[in-house]
Parts: sequence; structure tokens; C-alpha cells
Amino acid sequence: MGNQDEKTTSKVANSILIETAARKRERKQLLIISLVCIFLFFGIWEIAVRLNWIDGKYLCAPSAVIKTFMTKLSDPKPDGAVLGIHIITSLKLVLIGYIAAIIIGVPLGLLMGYYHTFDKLVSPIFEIIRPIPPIAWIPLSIIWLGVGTAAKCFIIFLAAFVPCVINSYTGVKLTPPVLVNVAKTCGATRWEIFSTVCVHYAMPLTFTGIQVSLGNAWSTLVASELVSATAGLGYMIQQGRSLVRPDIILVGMLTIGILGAIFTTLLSKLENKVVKWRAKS
Amino acid sequence: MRTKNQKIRDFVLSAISVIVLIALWCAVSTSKPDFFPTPMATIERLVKLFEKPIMKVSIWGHIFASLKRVLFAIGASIIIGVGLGLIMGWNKKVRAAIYPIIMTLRPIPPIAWIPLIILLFGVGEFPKVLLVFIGSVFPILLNTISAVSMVDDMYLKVGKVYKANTWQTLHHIVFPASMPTILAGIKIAISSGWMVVVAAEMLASKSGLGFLITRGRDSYDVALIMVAMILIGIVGAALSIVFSFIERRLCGWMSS
Amino acid sequence: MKKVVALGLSLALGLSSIVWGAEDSTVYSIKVSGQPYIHALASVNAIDKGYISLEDSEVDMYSSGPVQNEAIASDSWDVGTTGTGGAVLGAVGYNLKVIAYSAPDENTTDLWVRADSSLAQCEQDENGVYGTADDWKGLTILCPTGTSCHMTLIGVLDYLGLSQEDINLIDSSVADSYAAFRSGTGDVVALWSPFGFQAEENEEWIKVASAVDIGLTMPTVVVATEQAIETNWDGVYAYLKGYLKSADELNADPEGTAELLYDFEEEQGINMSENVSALEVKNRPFTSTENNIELFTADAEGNCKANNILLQFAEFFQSQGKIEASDLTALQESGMVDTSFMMAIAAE
Repeated sequence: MGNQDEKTTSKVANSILIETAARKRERKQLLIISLVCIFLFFGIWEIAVRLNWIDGKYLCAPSAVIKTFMTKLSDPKPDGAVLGIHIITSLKLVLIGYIAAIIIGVPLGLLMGYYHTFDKLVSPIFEIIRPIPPIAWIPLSIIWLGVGTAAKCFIIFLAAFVPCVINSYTGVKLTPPVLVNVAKTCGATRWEIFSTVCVHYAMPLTFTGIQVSLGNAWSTLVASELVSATAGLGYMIQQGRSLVRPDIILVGMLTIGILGAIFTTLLSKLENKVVKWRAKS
Repeated sequence: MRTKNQKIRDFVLSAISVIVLIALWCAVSTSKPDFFPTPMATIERLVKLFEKPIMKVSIWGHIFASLKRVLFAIGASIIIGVGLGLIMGWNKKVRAAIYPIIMTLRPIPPIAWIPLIILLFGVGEFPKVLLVFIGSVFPILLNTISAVSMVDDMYLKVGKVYKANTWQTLHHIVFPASMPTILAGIKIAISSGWMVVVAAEMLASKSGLGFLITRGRDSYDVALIMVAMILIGIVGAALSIVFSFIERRLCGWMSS
Repeated sequence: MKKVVALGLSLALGLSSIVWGAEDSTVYSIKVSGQPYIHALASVNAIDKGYISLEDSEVDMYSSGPVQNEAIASDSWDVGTTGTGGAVLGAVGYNLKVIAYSAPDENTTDLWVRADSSLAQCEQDENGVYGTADDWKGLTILCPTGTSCHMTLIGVLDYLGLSQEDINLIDSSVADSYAAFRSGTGDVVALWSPFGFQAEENEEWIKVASAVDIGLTMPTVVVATEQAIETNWDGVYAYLKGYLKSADELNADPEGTAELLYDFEEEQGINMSENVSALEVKNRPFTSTENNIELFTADAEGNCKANNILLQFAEFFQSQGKIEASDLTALQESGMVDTSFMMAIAAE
């Protein structure tokens, strides 16, 4: 009896081993495919430009992008500032607009979600403004706010604002009535119910909104810098356009892409820390 | 259930809010008409737009030009995004091959593509459709991939029991089961596409609603800017309403 | 209905050209481009009057020089009119050649301040520039970089003994600058037409310096793509001939031209009052055929005035880091103009 038991155990262990080995092999194989394809992608691009299949004037090779990237670290030409200055300028704009959107958008959404009268008063205005893309606000914001930082931050604010409001609103709306009723039974006031039960319940969804907002804010950066600028990643791309310098454009795109990806990762790490309790439930 | 009284109350509240908004508009614009066109000036500009087309294109023509670009691009995004997404969600090797490239390109915002695409393809119709395509294909593609890989294993097993081949499985099981998520992706794609078309038209175009904004900006015509913004808002909202309607028709079985 | 009208119009045009007899009746496949400003009016007029017959009689309008240049990538046009900035960047990026000069810009590229500005209180010197170096130092100036406005600004600063480091430059397009200056941004704004006239009409701003004060020459230009010159020389030539004839005719009748300009801007959706369009026509007469021949005639060393003026712009662009030194050398060697068209017209 005991012997047989041992046999089955080793059999199972064996099959598990075989299984993991097979998985490992498969994973390795997939990784190789991924790497080969990435190399092929950039390789074909490089060759296409080198062999003049694509006019080098309008698209440059990946190697040239890396070269320009390196020189842009210290050379302000031809767009007037080094890459570091562009990045800092853009970061400042995005942060101001983004933080303003969170500070105004989240409480607004939470209150709208809870107080029915407030919701009915505010949401028509919100719904009227919402379908207009932030970039369409550029001319008016210049007329109102001039061509300084304020106009640019306003554009980014508009982009980041909408998801903040919608998600925190939905978060409160989805609070299970049971929780509210329990609080009521325990004698909580309306404000207490809102601030303890609903706001807490809405947190995970609100955080998702904040994350979406960051994506929106960052991708509106290029648009906001269409308002006059002397530095910034979006400005750099625009300059590359009018000076017919695809390498400058690509360096700008690349930097925006990389920084965007970094922010998204950082924020989702932060999210896991802040709304830990969701993982448990 | 909301009672009739409550419904009336809600309506009154909404009406108050809109009236306050319009009153505010009137107040601000009469004191500073150069910074903010009055409602009357805006309506007059709209009427003039009907009488005197800009660039020999009527106002309907401008709306149609923008819509055409978006619809073409969304159509292409749906075909390519859903098709590629199904294959990538289904086959791990294809996924391994293409996914990293997509992940490299995805964080670049669609508006940042505008200069490069214009440099490569000029300012005609194709580059604009391509830009909207870039702005709309990612949500559809990514939603499709995740929908396909999350299809309930039980459905697939049922398929296996009935000896369905790959095509049948994809067509009859995977695709319908992924439908709601795919449609959600298309919905995001439409609003993102609408934003990109306005941006592309603002930056380089001779027609479309985005172009009207730029024209107003170039000649300090605040009323024209306002008209164009309102039209952009209306068309954008209409697009999402129409799509929600289609979504309900297609996915009616979900709720029933 | 539209087709019938179009047919009628083209018949009428055809008949009129037969009546005049002198017109070239060949239909050319040349695509004309422009911007919705006065320099394009001569193109539109030339086509409307039948001075040149084209397969596609629509003039493609672009909102700015860079956008117009970008359209070359998709072969959207062969000839057109643009500003000096567009011509220099077009020459570097897209091998564009200047074949004639159009309406000048120097009377209408200026720097403005608000009436309550300290600069407006200063004395004007003999050339009409307000204030001295000390008055200008540290001012915040709205100006689009890499344009004729920027060149004027640098020219004025240089004239006062200053450089760009002495002031605060905000890089912003003229239309945006105008709006921003109204809302209180900046101390000085650089404007070109028709914004300068609009400022004169609607704002209480004072012109403190102008390109003409410091002796700058600022043409707008007629350009052709290298490809069109190589493959369709006759077509480009016919267009230019029509353009110049139209320009001379527009110069002869300022009142009629002002009306044409007003209608043209209205059709383009540009907000321009009748008064401003009259001022525009008065201050920016087209460069006549005669003057163009003079500008494009090479001297003993093979240089022509037109090229020299444009090269100054190219040098300015290089000094601003907008184009590479190697690009400038290339332009200096190959020249920015193609004189063959004006030479042929002169020979006739």
C-alpha cells in the first residue's frame, strides 16, 4: 500500500517537473520569437532607410535617432534647448495641469456621485463640455490666458479632468446600498456616510481614473505645446516638423513614449500600495 | 424607482443648470465680446457659415470631411484590430512576435505622430486617415487580445467536445464571447479617433471642423472658433450616442 | 446644376480668350498652391481671368508656409506663392526654387506696443524707431522665431546695438501673439499684415519700429518645385507669365483689387474688413514684371539681387540655428532662385 502511494507521488512530481520544463521551454521559445521580431522590425527599418527605399529626408534610420538622441543631450540646436530642458519644461506643465485636475476633479466627482441635487445641477454642464477635445480649446485659451504656462496647463487640465470626475462619480454610485444602510442604522450622518463609506468604497475606481488621467494628460502634452513655447518635448517635435528634421521628431516621440511608460508603471505600483485592501477583498 | 415628482425635480435642476450656464455666457460675453463671443454673435456666425462657405466647402461639407476621415479610419481599425487581436489572443507565437512591437509604439500619443506622418505622407487625405487609425487601433487591438485570452475555458472545452476546428472555434465561440469587450474598445477608439481628427485638421488641413477652428484662430474670429467648437462637441456626442445604440443592438443578448 | 454653371463659365472663359486672341490656349497640368493672403490673389486672378488655363483651376490654399511645404511630399502642388520663411525652409527641406517676387512685406512687418507702454512715450529717431537701447532692454517680446518677423526684430535690436539675449523672447505665431498681447501678455508684439492693419483699426497700439525703418527688404515670393521645373518647364513658365500679367493688372487698379481681396478673404473664411483690405492693397503692391526682371538679372559674377536678398534670410536662419551650416553652404552654391523663367520673359 505504502509503496504504491510513494509511486503515485513520484509520478505526480515527475509530471509536474515535465510540465514546468515544457513551460520553460515554451517560454524560452516565445522570448526568442519576441526578440527576433523586435530586431527584424528595427533592422528592416534601418535597411529600408540605408538602401533608400524610404527617402532619408523624411524618415531617418534608428541608428540616426540614437545618434541625435545622444547629441541632443548636450546640443541645443536646432530647436533651441537641450533634451533635459525640454523634459523638465514638459514635466512641469503636465504636473501642474494633472494635479489641478485631481484636486478639482476627484472631489467634484465624489460629491456628484453622492449628492443627487448637486449631480443634477453640475452634470449637464459637464456633459456639454465633455465631448469637446482638449486640443479644440487651444485658440480660446490663448485668447483668455495668453500664450504662457497658464494656457498650456489649462489644456492639460481639461484632458485629465474628465476621467477623474467620471471614475470617482461611478465609484460612489456603485457603493452597495447595504453598506450605506448599515451606516445609517448605526446613526451616521449623511456627511459621515459620504466621507467614510462612499469615499472609501470609491477609492479603487477613483485611482483607476487618476491613472487614466495621467495617460490623457501626458498625451495632450504635444497639443498643449502648440500654444507658443520655447522648450518642451511637444515643441521640439513641432520644430522638427517645420525644419524637416525627422530625427528630432523621432527623438521627441521616443522620449515622450518612454517617459509615459515609466509614469504608468510608477503609478500602478503606487496604486497597489494605496489601495491595498482591494487586493484582499 | 424614482417618483414622478422626483423626475420633475431633476428636470428642473438640469434646466436651471443649463440656464445658468447660458446666462453666464451672456454676462461674460457682453462685457468682453472680443474675448468671448456673445450667443447672438455665435449664431450669426453660424448662419453666415451657411450662406458663405469657407474654401468653397459648405458647413455640411466640413462636418462630412471630418466624419469621413474618422469613419474610414475606425473601419480600418476594426478590421485590422479585431482580426489581428483574435489571432494574437489565440496563438501565443504570433502574440510573442507582434506584442513587443505594439508595446513599443503604444505609449507614443497619437498627436505626437502628426509631425512624422505629415513629413512622410504630406497633407492629403491618407495621412489624416492614417493618424486617426493610429489613434484608434490600439484600444480595439488590446481589448480584443485580452478578451480572447479571457474567454471561459468551459466554452472552449464544449467546442472541443463537438470537434470544432480552429476557424469554427474562433467564429462561433471566441468571437461572440469577446464581443462586449471588443465593443468597449471600439467605443474608446471612436472618442480617441474624433480627438485625433480634430488635432490633425487643426495642424494641417483645408477642410473639416478642426480646420475651421484654425481658420478662426488665424484671423482672430472668436465667433468662428466658438461655432466650430460647438459643432465638434455635437458631432462627437452624436457619434458616441449612435455607437451606444449599435452596441445595444449587437449585444442585446448579453442583458437578456 | 453646378456642372452646367461650370461648363458655362469655362465656355465663357474659352470664348473670351479666343476674342483676345493673344492668350496661350494650351491647358497646362500645373497645380497651384498659396496661402489665404494677398500674394495668392494674383494666382487666383490669373486663373479667373484666363491668363493661364489649367487642368485643375483650383488654387490649393494652406494655412502657413510649413504646411504648404509639407504638401510637396505628396506631390500636391508644382508652383505657388509663399513667404520668405517658407521659401528658405522649402529650399532646404524640399528643393524649392524662387522664380519671382510677389507683394512685399517690409511695409507691414512691424513691432507694436500698447499706448500706455513706456516705449510709446519715447522719442522717435530719424528712421522712425522709438526709444534707445536702454528703453528696449529687458522687454518681453512676442514674436514667431525663424520668420520675417523674427528677422525684423533681430534687425531692430541690432540697429539699437542690442542682441536677442537683451530681451525676453516668447516664440508664438503672429495670430496667437495678437490674441495673447490683447489679453495682457508681453510688452512688445511683432505683427505682419493683415494683423498690423487690424491693430491700427481696432486697438490703441503704437508701431514702434518697422522693417522698412531699418532698411530691410522683405519680399513674398513665387516658387516652383524642383520636380516641376525639371519635368514641366513650359507649364511653370506659362503660370508665371499669367501671374505677372495678373499682378501688373492688380497694381493698376487698387480700388478694384481691394474689392477682389475682400471677396477672396471672405471666401477663405478670413475675417478682414473692407478698410483693412484697402490698406493692404495700398501698402503691398505686387512686384511688377519690370522690377522682377531687374531683380532676377544676373550681374557679371552671375549673382542676381533676388538671390542675394534671399541668401540674407538663409544666413539669418543659419545664425538662429534653424538650418545647418552645411545647408546654408548648399544654398549659397546652388542659389535659391531659378532665373531662367524671368530671363525668358525678359527676352520676349
